[in-house]
Amino acid sequence: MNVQDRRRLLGPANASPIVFSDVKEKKSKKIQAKPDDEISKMFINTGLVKNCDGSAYIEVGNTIIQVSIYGPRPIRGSFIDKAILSTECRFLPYLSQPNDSISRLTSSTSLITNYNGKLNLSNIEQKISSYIESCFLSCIYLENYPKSSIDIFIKILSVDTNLLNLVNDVVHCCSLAMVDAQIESKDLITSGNLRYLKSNNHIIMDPKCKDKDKDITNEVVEEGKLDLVVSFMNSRNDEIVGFWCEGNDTLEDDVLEKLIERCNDMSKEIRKNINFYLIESLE
Amino acid sequence: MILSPAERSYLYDSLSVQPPVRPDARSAHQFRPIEASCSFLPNSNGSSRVRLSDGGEAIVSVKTQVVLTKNESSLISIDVDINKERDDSNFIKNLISSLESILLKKFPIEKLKLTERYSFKVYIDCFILSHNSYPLGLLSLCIYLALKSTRLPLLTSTVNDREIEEQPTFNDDWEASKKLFEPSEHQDDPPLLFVVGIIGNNVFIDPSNEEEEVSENGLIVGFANGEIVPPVQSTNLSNRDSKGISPKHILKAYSMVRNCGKEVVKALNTVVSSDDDVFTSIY
Amino acid sequence: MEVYSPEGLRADGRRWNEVRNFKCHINTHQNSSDGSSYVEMGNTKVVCLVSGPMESPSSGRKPNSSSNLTVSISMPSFVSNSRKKFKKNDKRIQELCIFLVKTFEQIVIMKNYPRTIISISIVVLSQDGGLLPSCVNAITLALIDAGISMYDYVSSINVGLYDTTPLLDLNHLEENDLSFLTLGVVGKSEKISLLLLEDKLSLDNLEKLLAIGIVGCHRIRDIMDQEIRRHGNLRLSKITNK
Repeated sequence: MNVQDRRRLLGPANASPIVFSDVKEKKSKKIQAKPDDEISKMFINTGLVKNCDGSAYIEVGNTIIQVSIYGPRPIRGSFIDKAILSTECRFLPYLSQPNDSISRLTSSTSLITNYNGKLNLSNIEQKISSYIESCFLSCIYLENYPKSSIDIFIKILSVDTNLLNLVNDVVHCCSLAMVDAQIESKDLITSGNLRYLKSNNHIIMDPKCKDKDKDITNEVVEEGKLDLVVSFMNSRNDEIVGFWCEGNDTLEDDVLEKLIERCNDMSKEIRKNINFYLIESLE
Repeated sequence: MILSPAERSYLYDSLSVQPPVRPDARSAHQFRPIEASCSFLPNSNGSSRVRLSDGGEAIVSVKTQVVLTKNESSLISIDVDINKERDDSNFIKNLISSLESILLKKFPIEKLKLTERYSFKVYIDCFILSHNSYPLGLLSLCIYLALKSTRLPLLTSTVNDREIEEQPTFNDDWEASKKLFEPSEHQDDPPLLFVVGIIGNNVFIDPSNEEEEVSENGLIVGFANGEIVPPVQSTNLSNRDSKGISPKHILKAYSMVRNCGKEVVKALNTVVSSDDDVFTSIY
Repeated sequence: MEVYSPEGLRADGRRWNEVRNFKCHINTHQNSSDGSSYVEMGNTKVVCLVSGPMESPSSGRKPNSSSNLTVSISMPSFVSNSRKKFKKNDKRIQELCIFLVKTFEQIVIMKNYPRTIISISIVVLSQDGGLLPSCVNAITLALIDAGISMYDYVSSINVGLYDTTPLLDLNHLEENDLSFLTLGVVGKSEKISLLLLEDKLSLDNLEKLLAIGIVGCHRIRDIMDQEIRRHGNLRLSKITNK
């Protein structure tokens, strides 16, 4: 085109496009693959955020989550006999949210702002929020806090894992923040996360791998895979407060029973660690 | 709905005895009566309406569009709209993501493939006229019917357009159209989602509004082709008195859905086959 | 496309003074509303739900400052041929709601309903022209079903002008091509309670259009009346059989 485009501001005539030097992708340090029956190490800390009632910070691999809890704080308006629990989970805006097939269609809707000028929660964020909410609804003594509300804000600062594994970490982070906020609860919630591969009847505990995106023609990359998160109240008779299973395979009773059992083991293991941290932090 | 403490305790007690006594005298595995019809929207490929006895009603339309396969991120798009409710509410987003999570995984995508380049894209638009109980089960029934009644025009151009680019052309005669899901082949039926309520040791399918109010927890269970499929998820049907559940509950819900599912599919298939004439008045 | 052929036939085979297939039912949603109706004008299908008269939620604070009658229209994205998402606050829909409120405030005996609200919700299932008329007809039926006192029926239809010929009850294609008039008539009278013209029309043609429009409205009123009576008899027989 030799006609100058008058509608745009153009750079000087002798401008040339930026050329990026050929950066070789740094070979990332080969992280020692974790054995399948091991829980990955986590770094936890509580009480980092000063202006809220309770907060926790958790780092598992490259996944970083921060939770702050406000409450119980008084609400205005009519009388209620129980506290209202609300949960909001947000990914930092530049993060790509776990590309599980459920989040695929959110890209178009996630950036619509509502009337307050705030970004709406994407479907994945909503889903995580409602899972956490339903877990803690059965756990907190809400009737001890009439006329008040408890707000949980989850911030996902970095994510390097699949959706359900992330949810697993979020549950732990929220539990810790709950303790830090000293809200009366029946128990501390911990959860277990497994991946079950049908083909060789293999169970991976705490799977850290990212999900490969599925082909549009639905050619499943990994055949016969089940992902499972189960959240427990371990010192209350191992009651299940949250259950979430995704995957592309049918679920049989005996397999399920075994998976729940294994999740429970994992949850107990994590519970021990969290207990240890909490006792230590008291001293 | 607000129940008085007396009503609440009456309902809770009668639902937790063995066997449960439901307020409308149904047995635990029985659905509320539904009224269903399909193929009544003249400008949709498939449509359906399902109404529950409590006045809950949903209308689903399936529209298709020919798209270039490589331009699309997904060949199925689901949208839910509730009369007098905002589009971006948490409630609607949760419904959409539950439906997406099962439909995207269990939909036989190959059926949408037209040629090497082109495919049909399916838009599933749901509209809930009114609802009292949690509408996911209702929506899922409705989507099943709409998909089963969907007709696609017959392709007249060649299937292989890898070498020569060619727009697909179709037979104008609607009589020659093909069903997306042939009634004869049942192995690839669309998936369904069931809502199960849990009180005490009892699980019961298709909880009504009153039952949801007093239920301790709930489960969403996916069902396709006679088998339980993910997602299986716990959900809080009411904001009050929720409690944890045990693996026993999940297994119980499982076998119940597996048994009911077959019956439901059979019943829905009769609706589809009896409602085959198009564009009749629905009320 | 030929809107009106020299032989006197329209694209869908009707003559100039013929209405599309008009079907209506009342009391279709007895479990979810106080009054309900379903109206089909050709391929335009509308459901109307009325709830009320009921206590207004904010009656304590501001005694009937605004209208007691509210109308909301929902257009799901599947209503038209091309999939289009309608926003709840779409200007066009809001405008239609105002027309409907203004019309029915005059027809409902509002003095019988002080400090109460009547909320009308319309769901459009399929749109093929004549949206406003079908909404008016559906609301009339649903209000009657809800037992709300009204002075008379309002029936409505649209009339277009092709060259010098008036065409009754336009479908979507004809609406796009012709300038047309929507009118609502009170009962069997010649009183007009709604008249809407959104483009140009020469004055000498107006009378012709009104005349045929009024006749069309009367015809629609008769069909609606028949349905109401049929339903009334059905209910009566249920009571007497008990």
